[in-house]
Amino acid sequence: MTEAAMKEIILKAEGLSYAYDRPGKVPNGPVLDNINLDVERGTIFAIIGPSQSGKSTFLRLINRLQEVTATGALSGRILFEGRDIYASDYDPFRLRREVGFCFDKPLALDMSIAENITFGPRLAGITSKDDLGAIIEETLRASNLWDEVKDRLSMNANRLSGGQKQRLSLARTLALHPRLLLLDEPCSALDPISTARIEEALVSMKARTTCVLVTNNTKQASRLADRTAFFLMSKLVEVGPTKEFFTSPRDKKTDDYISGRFG
Amino acid sequence: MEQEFQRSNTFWNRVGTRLCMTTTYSVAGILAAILFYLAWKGIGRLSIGFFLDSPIDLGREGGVFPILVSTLLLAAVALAIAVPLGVGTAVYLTEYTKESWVTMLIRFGAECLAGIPSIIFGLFGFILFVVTLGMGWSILSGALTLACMVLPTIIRTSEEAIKAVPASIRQVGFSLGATKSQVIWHIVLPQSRSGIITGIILALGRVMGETACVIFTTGISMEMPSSLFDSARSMAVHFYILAREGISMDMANTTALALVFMILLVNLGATILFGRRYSR
Repeated sequence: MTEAAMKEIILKAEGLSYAYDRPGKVPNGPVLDNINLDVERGTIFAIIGPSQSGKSTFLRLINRLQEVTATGALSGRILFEGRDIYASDYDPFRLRREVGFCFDKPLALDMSIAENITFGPRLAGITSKDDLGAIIEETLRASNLWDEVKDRLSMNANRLSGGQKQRLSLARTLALHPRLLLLDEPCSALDPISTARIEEALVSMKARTTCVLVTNNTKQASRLADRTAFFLMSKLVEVGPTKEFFTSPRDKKTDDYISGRFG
Repeated sequence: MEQEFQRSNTFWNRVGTRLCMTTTYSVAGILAAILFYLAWKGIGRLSIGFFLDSPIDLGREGGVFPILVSTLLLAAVALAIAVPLGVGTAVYLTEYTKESWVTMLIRFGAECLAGIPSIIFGLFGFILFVVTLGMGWSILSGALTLACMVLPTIIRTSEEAIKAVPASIRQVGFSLGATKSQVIWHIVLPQSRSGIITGIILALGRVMGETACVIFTTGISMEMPSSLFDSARSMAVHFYILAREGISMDMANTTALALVFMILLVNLGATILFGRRYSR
């Protein structure tokens, strides 16, 4: 067996299909249609594709955030560390602590920078000031924000710039020490410098935190990802090691998309 | 042609600006006129003693101390009842129910409640609390009645404030493993705090200035209340009686002035105490 095959699979989608209960969003057919893919621990996995291709929904299904805002019918399975997360005895609240989510918009909770970060850990039952302080510093360093905010941790987080807020969101998500991190176009609202800082952060922590990154920016996928998948119209068209994916795509549609002929 | 269009555009622009300005200054002017009139008429009898002494000879002399205490007590108890009920209803309507005929009915009911004249509430409170439940003319009866009266205001403003919190912020909470109640308690309510406080302050103003309702349910006793079951007199009622019974127009005006300043002070205090903890 090759070395790659021995790596542990942290996330697995098996025949995953999803459709909204209420018609409206995508009137015809499912939002996701028979998705099968594996994500290895310690890697960055990128998902690219045009809008309405189902990639964000896929991401939101992985930590069961989808069911908070919408009702839909799901078939197939999602396995996180080998367990079916939609099994009836699986606790979604624990899942969301172990599988972090970073949104496409920079969203700060209306509280101080420090409180933004300690929000998750506090709910998880961590109360010691020292522990929380350590988490604040560690996560802000990991998300490349520490130097900019270390002297004003008690300032309201809404006074930060968009790029800073997005790094704060990353730190807030990391504060729970998730083993898997889902990022939904985390840099779509950011300038190139802020984007670079987020990308650095993702690469430097990937050994500990596996990432699934949905992005509209194919260049970002090619820069960061170990493996890349292409979603189109609810289907997984192609998945493979990033280098091969971008240099010699097997599917014509992938080729057209990454070379900018549509999408 | 284009020139002409532009000219007329700037002309109407100017008219619009002036019009808005005039209305704003008129409103400010009316407010200033009322305050000025009150101050002019009322300041003559104003002294420290007015606030700290008991009324003598039906209020012709002395001060308003027990009445002042009763007013604050009445307002505090009324809000202590109305705020949890109102905010709770608003949370339920916005967070826990889907729009249906039930929520429409509740909302419609609350709106209707807001349009009912206060004297009707007074009558209702008199029949229910004072007579049927046997609470007599008391601060408790009055506070319960006042709570019913301001409930719609608090529900409505809290609902609007809660709705203004973006759904995406709630999702951040869920994504961090929070339950629905944790999201509401730790994210939604703190973030809608200033809107909710605005509603409470509006309610407070109405409670402290209410007359008809209070006469019916709390009575007109000028004594210092020793418990919530005692009859008492609020500042607004005191003013009404002093003026209506021809006891002392001077003292009535001073009472009115004091009431207005009390409301301003309490509002200011509430804003400072419960307002935004952080500057934006």
